[in-house]
Amino acid sequence: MSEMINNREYRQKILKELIMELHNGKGVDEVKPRFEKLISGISAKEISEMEQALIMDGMPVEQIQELCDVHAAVFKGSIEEIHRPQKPEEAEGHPVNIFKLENIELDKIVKDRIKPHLESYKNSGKDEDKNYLLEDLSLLWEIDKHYSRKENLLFPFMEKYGITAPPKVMWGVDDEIRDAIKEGRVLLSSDTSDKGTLVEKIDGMADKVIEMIFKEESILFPMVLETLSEDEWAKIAQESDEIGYTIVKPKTRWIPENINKDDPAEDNVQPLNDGYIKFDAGLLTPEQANAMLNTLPVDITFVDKNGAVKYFTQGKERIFSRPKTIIGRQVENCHPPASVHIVEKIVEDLKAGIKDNEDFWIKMGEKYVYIRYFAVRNEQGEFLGIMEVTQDIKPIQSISGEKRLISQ
Amino acid sequence: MSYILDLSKSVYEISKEHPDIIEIMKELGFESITAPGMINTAGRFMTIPKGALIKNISMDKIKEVFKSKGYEVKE
Repeated sequence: MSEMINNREYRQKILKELIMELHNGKGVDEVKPRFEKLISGISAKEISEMEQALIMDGMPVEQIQELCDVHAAVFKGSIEEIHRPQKPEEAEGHPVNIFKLENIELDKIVKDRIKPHLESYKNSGKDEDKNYLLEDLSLLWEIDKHYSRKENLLFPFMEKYGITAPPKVMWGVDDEIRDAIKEGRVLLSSDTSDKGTLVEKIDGMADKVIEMIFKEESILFPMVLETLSEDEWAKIAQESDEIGYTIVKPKTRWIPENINKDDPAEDNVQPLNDGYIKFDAGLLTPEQANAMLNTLPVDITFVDKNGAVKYFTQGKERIFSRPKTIIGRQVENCHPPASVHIVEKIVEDLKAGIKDNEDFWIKMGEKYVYIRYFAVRNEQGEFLGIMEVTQDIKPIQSISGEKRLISQ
Repeated sequence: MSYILDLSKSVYEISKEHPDIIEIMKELGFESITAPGMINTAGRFMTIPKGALIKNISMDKIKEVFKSKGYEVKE
């Protein structure tokens, strides 16, 4: 079967045969069923490429033109339709295509692994089944990347078009699912957790994952496909690597047809201007300033006084990934709904001058992350915005004693 | 007076004709429906049967409630 689905050469051979049959006097209706079968699932573009290849091989153009009647018959009268644009979400590497492929994998994890293992555990209560489930949940945790891409890359564009309610609600549910997976892992790792509770919690979480797949496929994707423009999709595709993928990895990056292929939506490559920026103590070229900020051993994000994200550093390893699509986005839309009110409170306090900074410190895997928010004011004390500085302080905390030049 | 509730139409379309369905659906458990802008965005792609599937609300119950509010349900 695979050669019929996947092999260009094979399809080309059939196409050639069909053209020859037409040329030798067969009627359109006789050829139609095979042609229909041949083109199902391949793009119009590939058909024209195949035709082109046959011309290059020496087949007379007239003969190939005979195919037009078949095209027309298959597409109910309209030859133009053969060249209609392929559905973007079916193109390899298109963000929606990736989301859909991920959903297929997530669906499999839930239906082929979690559900049967859960059933088996329910009946046996064996530790072995718990271990399987723990493995399944670790794999399922990959869903975090799927949700992060949705929240940080797709939602900003929806907000731009005034679609704000569905993303907010959906983000809340994403977070519930994330929490439920984490809770499931804790319950599975503990020897004392109650079997009934465990089964119920994991089962509920699994159902939510399936529900979310359904919501994405039947509401979210149709909605965004209708709304976003091709170059916006290109931007999402471009930023996706930064966050990563769930189980599947796209082989190619999708580039829309109407964008120059050598330059995929690179709107950020404008060279930094010549000239100098004058600071309080000294002058730097934009290039120097940019490179210095990126070299700082901390991650910096700046949000202006109106709450729009204006800038962030591009250090080698950021603690929290920041896709470029968040530039210009309102900061309250960049946080999970559950924590938005906290963010808003911090912003208010800093803006009002009640505080000059607010600090948090959290454990994140191997890292001990110190997150500081500073009010940025000019010399007159006027509020300009807020700067977030994050840093892994674990290596700093482990410093003791002294290291002097002389001990080198 | 009896209204026709066409289940094949989107929630957006139905709500344009019968704005009171929003309150009824909220009572049925579609609590996100009243979030500002929801009807105009996701509502265009949502049908009541799809929503019922997502929210795990039985279609029988939905039909029953709508009938009690004077709707004639068209499938």
